[in-house]
Amino acid sequence: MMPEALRTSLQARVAAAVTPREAAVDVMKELQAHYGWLTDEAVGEAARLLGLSELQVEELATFYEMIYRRPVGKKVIHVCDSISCWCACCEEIMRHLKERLGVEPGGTSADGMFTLLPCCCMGMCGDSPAMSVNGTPYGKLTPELVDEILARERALAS
Amino acid sequence: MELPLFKHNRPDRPVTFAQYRQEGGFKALEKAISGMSPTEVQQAVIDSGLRGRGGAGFPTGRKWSFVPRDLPGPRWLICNCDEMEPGTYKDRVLLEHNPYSLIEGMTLACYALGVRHAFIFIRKGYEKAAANLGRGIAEAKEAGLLGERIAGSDVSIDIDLHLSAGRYICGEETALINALEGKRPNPRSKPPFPAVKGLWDGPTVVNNVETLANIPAIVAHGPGWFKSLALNPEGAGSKLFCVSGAVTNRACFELPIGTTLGAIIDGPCGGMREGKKFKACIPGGASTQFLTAEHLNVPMDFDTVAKVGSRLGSGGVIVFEEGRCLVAATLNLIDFFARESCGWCTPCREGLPFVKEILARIEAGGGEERDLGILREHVKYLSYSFCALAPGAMAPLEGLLTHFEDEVREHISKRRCPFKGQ
Amino acid sequence: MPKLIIDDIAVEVPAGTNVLEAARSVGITIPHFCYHPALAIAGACRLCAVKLLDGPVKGIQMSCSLPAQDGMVVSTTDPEALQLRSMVIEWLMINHPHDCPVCDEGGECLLQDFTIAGGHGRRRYQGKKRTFLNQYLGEGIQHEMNRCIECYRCVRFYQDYAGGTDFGVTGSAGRVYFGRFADGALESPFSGNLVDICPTGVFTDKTGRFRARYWDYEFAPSICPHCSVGCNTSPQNFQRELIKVVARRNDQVNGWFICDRGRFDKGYVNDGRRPRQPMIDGVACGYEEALDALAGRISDFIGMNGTGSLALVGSARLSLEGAILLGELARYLDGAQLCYFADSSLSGGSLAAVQLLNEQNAASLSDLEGADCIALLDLDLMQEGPMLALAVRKAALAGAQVYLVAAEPGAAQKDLPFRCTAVGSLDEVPLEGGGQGGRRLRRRRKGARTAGPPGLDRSEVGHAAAGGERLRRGAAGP
Repeated sequence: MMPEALRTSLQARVAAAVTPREAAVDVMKELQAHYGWLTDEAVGEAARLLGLSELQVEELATFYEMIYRRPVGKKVIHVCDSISCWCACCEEIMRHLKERLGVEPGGTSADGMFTLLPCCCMGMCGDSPAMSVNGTPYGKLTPELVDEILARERALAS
Repeated sequence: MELPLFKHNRPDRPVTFAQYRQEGGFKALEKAISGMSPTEVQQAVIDSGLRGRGGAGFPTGRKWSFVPRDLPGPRWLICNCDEMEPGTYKDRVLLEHNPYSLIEGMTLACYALGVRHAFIFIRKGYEKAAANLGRGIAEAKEAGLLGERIAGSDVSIDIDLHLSAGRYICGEETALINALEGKRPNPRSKPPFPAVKGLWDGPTVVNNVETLANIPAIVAHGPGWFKSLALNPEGAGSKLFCVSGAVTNRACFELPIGTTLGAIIDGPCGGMREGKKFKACIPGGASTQFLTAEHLNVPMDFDTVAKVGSRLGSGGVIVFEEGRCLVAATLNLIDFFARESCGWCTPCREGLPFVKEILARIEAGGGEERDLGILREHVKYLSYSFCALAPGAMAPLEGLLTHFEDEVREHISKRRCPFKGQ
Repeated sequence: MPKLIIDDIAVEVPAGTNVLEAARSVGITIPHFCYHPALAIAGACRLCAVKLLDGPVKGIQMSCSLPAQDGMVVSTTDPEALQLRSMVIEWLMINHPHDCPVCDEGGECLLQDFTIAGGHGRRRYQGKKRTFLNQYLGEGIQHEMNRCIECYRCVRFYQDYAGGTDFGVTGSAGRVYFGRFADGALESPFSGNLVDICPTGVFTDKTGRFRARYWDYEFAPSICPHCSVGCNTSPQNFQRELIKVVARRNDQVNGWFICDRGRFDKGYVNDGRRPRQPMIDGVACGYEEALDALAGRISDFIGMNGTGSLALVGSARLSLEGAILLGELARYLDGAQLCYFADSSLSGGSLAAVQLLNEQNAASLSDLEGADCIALLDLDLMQEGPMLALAVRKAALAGAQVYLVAAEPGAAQKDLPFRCTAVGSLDEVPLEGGGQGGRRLRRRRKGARTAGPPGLDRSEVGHAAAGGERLRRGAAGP
């Protein structure tokens, strides 16, 4: 269930938009932040808020890289695999993460903490290789630094 | 000469509103609103020779001049901060240090174009830049430099942030307009061009962050001053070069237009990393052709880089060292473009995965002689796709086939990547 | 009227015609998938490439997106254009399952035709094909996404043209998917047109699946019997069974489309219980014998009771042929009562409407599509004539003012695929320049239309007709 405060704030966001659709991405992101991922229920809520059908919300939701339509862990790790990070051996970082979390890209660690995903250029090319954990960017990664980050993010979550 | 974009930057934190004001910030806006007509501001931008910094390099003033003056209804300005071109991070660095030049530049552009309401379209992952901008907009409003009746005049301008959710295609201006409207971000067909029929069918100008951030300096110091910043007579202004890959200092630098490629690498970048030798670079983001060692003397300016077969693009320079496999590098680039295709037109949606399959096979040692022909066909025929994504994707491939054909052939004849596990 | 040259043939076409249609007007078919005359230009498939050799535009261009202009010299057979077309086919066939033997579209498949025409015959792509899961879309349509060539025709029809919201396109890049949010019957009463509009076999008619091939069918140009709109159809018959009904193009009436009732409601035609042979008192006999018996019994009846006691009962849903013959019979049996309605006020209303209709005030669906102001008298459009609703939608999208004169506005408005203003009576419709609609009418000299249900009585019909007449005169003004 969506908390009343969130509903009110999203209704205000939609009302302030030039057209309701303009607020669609904001609404989806806020609902995702609340539910952890954009659940079917959240798609329904978004549709009602925006005056669209569920399918019309789905058309938008499935287009964007950072809207998740499947369950994810508490935190989502995105590892950039575009050219600058590739030059800086992002493949090694990905390999390390797969090993540490025991998952393939797309998978969620057994404890439900981390979902591992690749992503397109994060604009962190000067600090490559880079990844983000729930939106927090981390650059100049090494396997050791990745371990530290995992420990820190895990501690922050509990 | 002091260059306009990074001059307010502090080493470790964003410049404050007070500091920006103290260093002459918003003087250009006050000057324009109190003493210049909108047409005069537009003329200054035309005369300055400013060209779009997002990648295409289209003259900014000319783009503005396409907006019909007499159409009823609202018109719009959109700042394109959907910086997702691999190798490009200049707008992020600029905004993380200083949101005010963009805010002032947008306000000036709105004044010149008669726009009441502008948007900044910001990619996912640039939350820090968005926070700076949000704060900057509030401060500018508080100071009466944005919002209702700017600087006591009868001019009112608002700027809103629109935060996206991550897709490269949103950087294409018509796809961006669809995205902002809350539609699927497929590009629209042109004509009609956005200047005539864009956001909510109104006349719309879409400009890059860096482009708009240059406008205060042009208005403050005049078009002649701006032109003179460039090192070569064809160029104008400065450019943000964001460098990544095999150099010692991977960072974003503001340099005069016309600085040579070699001077960028050997100067602020501190040369190649760990004594490696320069092999090639991509000069302007993922969708530009490779330049090689013979191009190190090329002045980095729109026309000169185009003359040697590549593009200045976004200024995202990615440097490759000797020993780096460029088949694999091109495969990585094509993989990006194939993933980021919006899926609207056939050549892009189906052709890019085809190219990717071939390059992956060549890199894995399964390439065939005829693959070269198929790749060349794609270079030619992907140029007939709906928007510029697929032709952009073909630029590095064309560069690979032009400058490094021998390397591709070696993969095929040796039936393995010659750079791997010898 | 731009004049241009296509493959050495001089062509003159109305302004606004695209090069693809200009070529078609002189018998040259340029292969195309995403282009459809009834839908907005997409420019997505890139198959209709031609080369402009001279004139205001040069080089390879997509003929669907290119308006014909004076001085253009077009080649549809230029090697570069042919090569691009061949590559487009090759790209599309990378993922197509090549399952033509078990595909109901086989034989009437645009993808088959243009694959042959495009000259692509050998597979060079060595990777795997992508695959999708299909959805249940109801009892009318079978879904087979693997065949999709992503021309976007379906979604452009379903959402943009017909106003449906429960079917669309999700995903992106090589994973675009055309379907619903979840399995379930398509909600639009026009969903069946996906079958006609899909250039390959993604959407096939489930009600006639795996029964016969296109070339096996007997076709006849026909008119849909389900309502009075008169949509043109092409019933497909195989071995004395009606297998499918498809739309037949008529730009004055239904354009390219029909509603789902017209397409799918055909069970009664093939129903085993339907009388297929004349019978007398339950015993099968020949037609001549049956007709003779009927004539004899009518004659006996008249002999005993007089023609005044005989009523010939028809129905508003009788086919035109049947209605005419019934009238003939009534005229022959002078004095017999001919009735079509159970209620005399309905009968009076219909008669009045027919008497008031003339060549000037009768409107076709295409007139409706071009109207500036439309008043709908209390009627359930989706029941009375669904295709009327699409025509009104087209007008509304083009800026027409639509008024619904309704006792219970909310109920009737709910399912309409367009926006309309509910008013209490026809008098509230700004017919004579009072509202925006009226002003626009006079300026644009376009007629306005009223439509009503058969249930109106005589005075209501007269009132409506008078309103329509005022509008028409207003429209013909200065």
